[in-house]
Amino acid sequence: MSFPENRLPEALSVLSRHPSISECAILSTCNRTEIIALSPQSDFLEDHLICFLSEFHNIQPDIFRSHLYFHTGSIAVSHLFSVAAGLDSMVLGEPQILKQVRDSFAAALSAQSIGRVLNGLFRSAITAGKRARTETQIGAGGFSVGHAAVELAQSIFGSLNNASILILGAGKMSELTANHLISSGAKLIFVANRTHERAVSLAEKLGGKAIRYDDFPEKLLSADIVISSTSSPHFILRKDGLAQMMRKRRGKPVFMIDIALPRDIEPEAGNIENLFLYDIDDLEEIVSDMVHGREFEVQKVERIIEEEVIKFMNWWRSLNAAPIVSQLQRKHNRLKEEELARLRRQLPDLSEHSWECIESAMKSLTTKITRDPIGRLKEAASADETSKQYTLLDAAQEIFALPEENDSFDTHSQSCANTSEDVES
Amino acid sequence: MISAILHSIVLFAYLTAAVLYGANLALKDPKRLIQARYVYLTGFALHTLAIGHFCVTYHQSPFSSAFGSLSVSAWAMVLLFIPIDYFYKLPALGSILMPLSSAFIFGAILRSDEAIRQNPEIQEHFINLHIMLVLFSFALFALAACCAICYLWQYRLLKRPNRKAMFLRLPPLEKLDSMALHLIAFAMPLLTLGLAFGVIKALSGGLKGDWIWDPHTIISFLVWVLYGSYLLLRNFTGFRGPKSHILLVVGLFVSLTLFMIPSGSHHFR
Repeated sequence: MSFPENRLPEALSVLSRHPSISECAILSTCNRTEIIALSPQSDFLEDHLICFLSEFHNIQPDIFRSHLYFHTGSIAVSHLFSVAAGLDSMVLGEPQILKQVRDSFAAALSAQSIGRVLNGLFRSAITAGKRARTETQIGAGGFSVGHAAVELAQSIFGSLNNASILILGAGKMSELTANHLISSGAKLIFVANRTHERAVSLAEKLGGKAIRYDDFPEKLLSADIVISSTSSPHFILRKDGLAQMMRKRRGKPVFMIDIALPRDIEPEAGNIENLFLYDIDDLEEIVSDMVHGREFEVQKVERIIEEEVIKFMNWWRSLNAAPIVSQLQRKHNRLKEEELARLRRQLPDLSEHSWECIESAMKSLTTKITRDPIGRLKEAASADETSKQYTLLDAAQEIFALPEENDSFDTHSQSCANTSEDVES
Repeated sequence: MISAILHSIVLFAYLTAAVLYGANLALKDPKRLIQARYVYLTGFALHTLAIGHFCVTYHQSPFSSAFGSLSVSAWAMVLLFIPIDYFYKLPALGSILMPLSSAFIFGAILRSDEAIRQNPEIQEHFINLHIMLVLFSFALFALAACCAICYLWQYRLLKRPNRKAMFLRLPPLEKLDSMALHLIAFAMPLLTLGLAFGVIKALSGGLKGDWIWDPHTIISFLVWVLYGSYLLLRNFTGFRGPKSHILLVVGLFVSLTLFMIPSGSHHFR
């Protein structure tokens, strides 16, 4: 049920043409599909969206209906903010989702399927996502063994820009771990393997250099990070040899990752000063600790989401006052202009400077007269009490004899809906 | 009296900053870090004011009393910490340095009632420069020791079998190691120059004959030998890792004895 990137414009175009939808966006990732829609009438929106999904993917609604959830109003807003903050992700706090929300926003903008409200909604969702990651530790630490290796390497060396990596054994795990380190800045890569051709092939993939397997002890003297995953049945690096190597390195620290089974590096070597040895179990333990640590951050993120939802809902509701405020301002401006014109006819001898002063005084007067009513109207519109805002907005329309406008924002009948579907990737 | 009150406020500010730095370390909360910076910078401004007030009130160099010397030492530590905190992003040091500075301020407050030495020679620029250079080099040693403590802590976290993700909250080992080395490399010339000024003054008849065996002279020389050995070993034998950092912490304790042991003949005539 996901929307591939190349079909997203088409999907947005079909969806935005629907008469019951005024604005829409689609967030589609490997394990979630969400439709965010603004509709003047929420009554049949759910059915419309199901119908759209069914027709677009050519699947009977009954097959997927039970997997859907449908939120409206502030719950829908809160859900999108939770998604952006990574609270709804399979791996709590993972960073990719914020980029995906941004991409979804960009796609909707380029398809011109969103207007003022969803534009504001996505901006607020991105703000909530960013705040969650900068103000809490929800995005801290790694999410995989590779991430844990990077975190450890950075905790030893700081920047990895000048770090050199020696890979022993051209296995898949070595490649994955090395890729994480390379994406964090490591540039000098050396690969040694018993079958030299495989070392050459992996070195080419990683942008490094293959060395003969027999030459690796010499390279150990200068390498900062060693990733070992050979299929050797016995240790290839023993404590005594490594202790000798460390003496030759004059205490320069080395970070060793042993991901081979059985192990390549004698575990006791971890006791050597300035040699930091980790095996796959250590790395997995660190990842699990990082994830566990993030669970304590959920409450903090929820507080941020709550704040952002209140801010957004206030802004959204305040849009109700916009047509009346603009009418009020237009009416007062028109009255001011009429009075000025009348005065100009009655006092033709006044200098241009005098007219400037009169105009400025009248402008100031109209601004001061309308300031309080406009403030009260905006306040009432953003208040969470629907009856209050309508009493005041209606009263304002009556008192100031403002004409009714058809294109007014009407949150009472509008619904920001969010239909989501979780699909296992 | 006003100086003591101002110092009490400074003590409160530094202690608060210490707690906030600790909270930032424990919770990794950037808000605490910003608050800690505001608090210690306010404390530092007041501290500067307090030292200035002391000098203006008594028309004496701050080094004319133990109160002033301790206060200036704490002030120098915080002053040197400011660029490290801002440019090298090592806020973890604040959680160690702030309690240390607070201890110095506390010591200063305890000795605020002691008599001020009405010694005209202490007003000499030459002597003031000697003391200033020694105290600033000691402040740099204190900062290096803070780096060393952080290093040892981080080293332990990265080495112990029950590995937890706590290491993420501390600065990288190599950054701490390099910072400690640079601080010592800056401090050594200052200490050497400061001691040289003292020796010149003593030899020119500024001190009594037994100044060589004065505890302050011996401790200063010991500190010089200790940190000098560190630099030599580091450059020529690759002396690094936890042992080198233990030496830096030991160096701090040796330096601290200078403030605890009274001087016999270390009074200029």
